[in-house]
Amino acid sequence: MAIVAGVGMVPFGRHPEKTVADLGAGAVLAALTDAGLPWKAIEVMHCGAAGAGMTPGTRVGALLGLTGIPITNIDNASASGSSAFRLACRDVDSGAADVALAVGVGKFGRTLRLDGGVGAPEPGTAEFRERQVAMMQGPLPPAGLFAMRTRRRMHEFGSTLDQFALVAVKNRKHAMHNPYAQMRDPLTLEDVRNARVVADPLTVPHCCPVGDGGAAAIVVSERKARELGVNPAIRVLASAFRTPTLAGVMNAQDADTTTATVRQAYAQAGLGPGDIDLVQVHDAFTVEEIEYCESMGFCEPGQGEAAVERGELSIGGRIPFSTDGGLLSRGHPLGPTGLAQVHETVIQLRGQAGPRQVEGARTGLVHMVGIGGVCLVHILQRA
Amino acid sequence: MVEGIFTPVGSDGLPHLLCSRCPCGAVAFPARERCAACSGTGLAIEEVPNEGVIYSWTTSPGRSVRVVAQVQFANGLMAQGFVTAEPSAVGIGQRVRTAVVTVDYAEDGAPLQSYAFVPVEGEN
Repeated sequence: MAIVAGVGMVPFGRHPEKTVADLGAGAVLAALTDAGLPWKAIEVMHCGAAGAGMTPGTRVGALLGLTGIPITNIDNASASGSSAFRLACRDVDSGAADVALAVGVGKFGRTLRLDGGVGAPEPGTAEFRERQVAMMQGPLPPAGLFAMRTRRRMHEFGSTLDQFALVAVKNRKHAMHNPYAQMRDPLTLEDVRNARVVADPLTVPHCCPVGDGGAAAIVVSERKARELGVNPAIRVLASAFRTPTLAGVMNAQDADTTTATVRQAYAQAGLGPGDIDLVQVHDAFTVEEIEYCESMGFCEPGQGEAAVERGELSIGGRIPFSTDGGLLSRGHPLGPTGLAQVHETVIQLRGQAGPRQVEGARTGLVHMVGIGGVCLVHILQRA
Repeated sequence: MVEGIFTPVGSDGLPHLLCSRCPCGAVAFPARERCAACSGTGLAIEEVPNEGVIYSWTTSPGRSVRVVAQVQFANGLMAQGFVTAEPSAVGIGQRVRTAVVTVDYAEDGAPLQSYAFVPVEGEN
């Protein structure tokens, strides 16, 4: 079973003076220091990045030293870092490596081009037609789809927009105690109500910010963990990865895929929702934390809003979500986000989270969704 | 005009979206060649009913506020498109009909003919 021996991060935010490779190298060096390992100890590396150009991980490796190890680059949108973590764990679980590295990198402005950076397609090409058909359907920012999910939920369950806003307020409170978080200024319900509308009814604080950052985790075999004296050992009990099966049902696909992926992760770990002490979730938009809280079995359908309102998802509550501020406040530079979640979970399970510590936390669930229907869930537990 | 997305004059003289229907029953818009639900082939093109019901909606940022909605049709299809109404006049459950409009897109400047949903008179 893979054991997390070290984690590291570069604070999320704006780093105009750093390249994508610099951000990755910074995170890797922090993780190596945390693990007490030299760069030369890394046997295999996986790098998650979304639209960050060719082979960003290979550039990270080149900055740290040309050791000749295999380096794989993964683009799975927002779930790229989580995908890198999964592959590193599998390399250890399969016996292919004793020390594997997962890193995620992302930089604002270098990660927003979804067309591969080739510019507008030429008339007459398949890509041109694809783009025109998309425009005919009403071009929306990502917030648009989540705005429709929010409005539909308000219609079905009678929820109020303020109930969704409370997710943003709660996650900001958590982020204020996280030095790696991008958004740490106080945020009130009034602030959320009065902010600019991005996609009706969602205002800016309902949506995660973009930014720059890097995050890394080093996973090792049981044998290597004993040799290094890793204490406490944080075990990766489950790694589940699914894509959608629900065809033609708008609005429900991410929650449905989350339900199936979490179920698989619970089965692998031999655990259920009652065994989980804290959750890092893909809260790119406020409605998501509420929907996925239900998909994960922590609430009945339609009860997520009330759970947030009662403080059940806050630190000190029944099942704290997004303890580092989540995508909404810790930030979401795409590639590294899944590994920032692993970073937070490991820090919490070690009891090193300071003022945002979840008391007695032993088992954490980590969840990411990537555009196009990618869903990854990991369950980590302190030995 | 992009072929195969809608017909301005369908079998009943009205505009219709064009979806695919698989022998397994699954519908898709835009039409697919291979079914997402069962991987089957042999999908037929079907006219979507002219009228549908707004399932949810939002606004698209741009030079002017434009409403975009997901519309549920009686043949099982849900499709997304513009609604030719102010946000204050749009609501979930509202009946809309399919029409053909020309929308000027800021991105490339060229006008593009598309379908849009128009609130049915007398209902809200």
